[in-house]
Amino acid sequence: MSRKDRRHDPETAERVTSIIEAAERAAAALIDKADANAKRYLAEAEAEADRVAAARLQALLETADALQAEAEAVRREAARLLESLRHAELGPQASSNGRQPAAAGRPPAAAEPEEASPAGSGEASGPRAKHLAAVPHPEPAAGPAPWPVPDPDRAGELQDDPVASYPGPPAPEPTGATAAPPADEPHRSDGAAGARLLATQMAVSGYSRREIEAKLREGFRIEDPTAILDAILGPGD
Amino acid sequence: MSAAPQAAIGLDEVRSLEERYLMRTYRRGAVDFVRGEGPLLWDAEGKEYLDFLTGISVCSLGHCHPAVVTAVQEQAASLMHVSNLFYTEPMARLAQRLADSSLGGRVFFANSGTEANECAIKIARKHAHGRGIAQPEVVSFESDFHGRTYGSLSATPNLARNEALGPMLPGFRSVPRGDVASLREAVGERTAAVLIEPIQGESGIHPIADEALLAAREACDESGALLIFDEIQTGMGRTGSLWAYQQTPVRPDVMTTAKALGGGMPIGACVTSPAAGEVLEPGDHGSTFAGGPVATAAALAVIAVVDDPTLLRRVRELGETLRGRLGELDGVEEVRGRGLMIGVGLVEGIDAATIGADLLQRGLVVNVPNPSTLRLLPPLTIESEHLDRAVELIAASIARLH
Repeated sequence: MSRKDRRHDPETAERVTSIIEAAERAAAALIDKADANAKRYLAEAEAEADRVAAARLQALLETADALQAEAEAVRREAARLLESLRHAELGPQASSNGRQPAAAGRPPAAAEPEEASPAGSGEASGPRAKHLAAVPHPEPAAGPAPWPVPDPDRAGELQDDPVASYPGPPAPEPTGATAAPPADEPHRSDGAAGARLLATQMAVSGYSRREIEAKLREGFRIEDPTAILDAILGPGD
Repeated sequence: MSAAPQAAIGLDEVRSLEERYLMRTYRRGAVDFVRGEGPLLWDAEGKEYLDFLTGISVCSLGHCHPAVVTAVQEQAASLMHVSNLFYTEPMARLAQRLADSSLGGRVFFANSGTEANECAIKIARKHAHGRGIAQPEVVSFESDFHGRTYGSLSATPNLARNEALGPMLPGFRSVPRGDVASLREAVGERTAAVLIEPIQGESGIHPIADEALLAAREACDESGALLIFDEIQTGMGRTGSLWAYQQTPVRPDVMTTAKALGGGMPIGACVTSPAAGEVLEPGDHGSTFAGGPVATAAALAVIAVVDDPTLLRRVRELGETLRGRLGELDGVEEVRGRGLMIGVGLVEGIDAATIGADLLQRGLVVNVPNPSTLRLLPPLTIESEHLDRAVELIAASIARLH
């Protein structure tokens, strides 16, 4: 059969047409199925993404809450330390307002320099407390008269007279230099402020509660420094 | 090509060279040290010494501490100097560490303690001028030692009396050590600062009483002056806390440190409160070398070791033990100091210089700041066995020479 004969064969043409139509229907079905699958996959992916995002958001919220709680704890701790410092520096005012718990620990029979005079209870206008009282020093105060200062950078200068080239000794140290000033001296009103600052500085420096307590007892003659220690370090055992 | 190391020439030849070429500003002990490790030193002949001076409290971690050596080596191999015209990380980090561990303000780096004090004096004077004081004055204690540059020297009363070096700077006065009444009388409307060594080192280890420190703080508050603590010798853990003021009931406005800060590298620092840190402005002060990467890297390594509560507690405990044992020795009148900054006052009739020379012969390095005192500044990392050895040597020396 020639090509011309086949082209004009109606039966063949009909068969071809039906094949084409069937192919088109199959293709359309495939496209519909692919589209449906794509939509399903997309929906599933969106759902998964939403789930993951929600989980992460929840985790972030929990982390944020935890951080916020920690920050609040730190803030409270800082406020407590600042309050301790403020008490230490503004002791006279706090004491006069009845807010100073540490004063109760002082021995009544001692010189009580910080309670001897109200002269130091004026308003503190600066960042630092004024009228800090003098307190006895724990170190042994007595000692030989000071000698002229030799060369500081002369390590090993041991064979020669270390003072030969220096002027005579300075004025002798006043024998009362390290003793407490007269009781009526106005600035002797606030050893407690110094004690609190000392305790705070020692605490910041890593001293143990026992060491700070010993220093307060020995240096400031505070029989029961518990209140100061509790205010700075928190309640002890 | 690296140069071959020169052979040791021996003490006699070193002394000969010194005699010919060095200015005669020092009288040295007759030892030529060539090596150090921890608390030990060795001279050129191989003799071992126990070092209870640590280069005047400079090598507080002992000689050639591995952390310091490593820091110096690594920094020197990467960058040694660029000047203060540019940023360098070790300097910034060290400033943060110093400020955060003390007064909370700002830091100026220097190359030595006396330079750190110069900065402090400059801050005080400018601060005073800002308060309308035309002729500001710095008050210090007799027997204080603050340094040998002219500002610090002028604040060092005993040395400032040397007329051959005069005139000193104006604006300095002194009062007897620890004399509260004299101090309060001296501080007035002209006062720019009270400058104090909380424990006088060069005069023979004399702690200043808390009451005098409180009086100084109060006088400064009343007059508007700055309270400056010279912690060049007392700082960096020497007294059992990182800074000596932390064991006192006062807090200074300005603090200077040096010596142990660099662990053997030359560095000083002036540290301020936040307010005092705003006084100096661009152009007011400066230094070519100060704050250089190698020195600050070394200091970062030192402070990382020293700023440790366990180490500092041990310094306090060892100091207490050492002071107690020394106080029991025949020939010892008193023992002064805190932590491992110790002055041993000898009874009348015992010459400390003779004892010091004898101890050097016996292999113990100490210092003799005055004719009746031995000054002990052992490494903060010292072991108990070394304390035992030092006490035995001191006891034997006193027994022989007393």
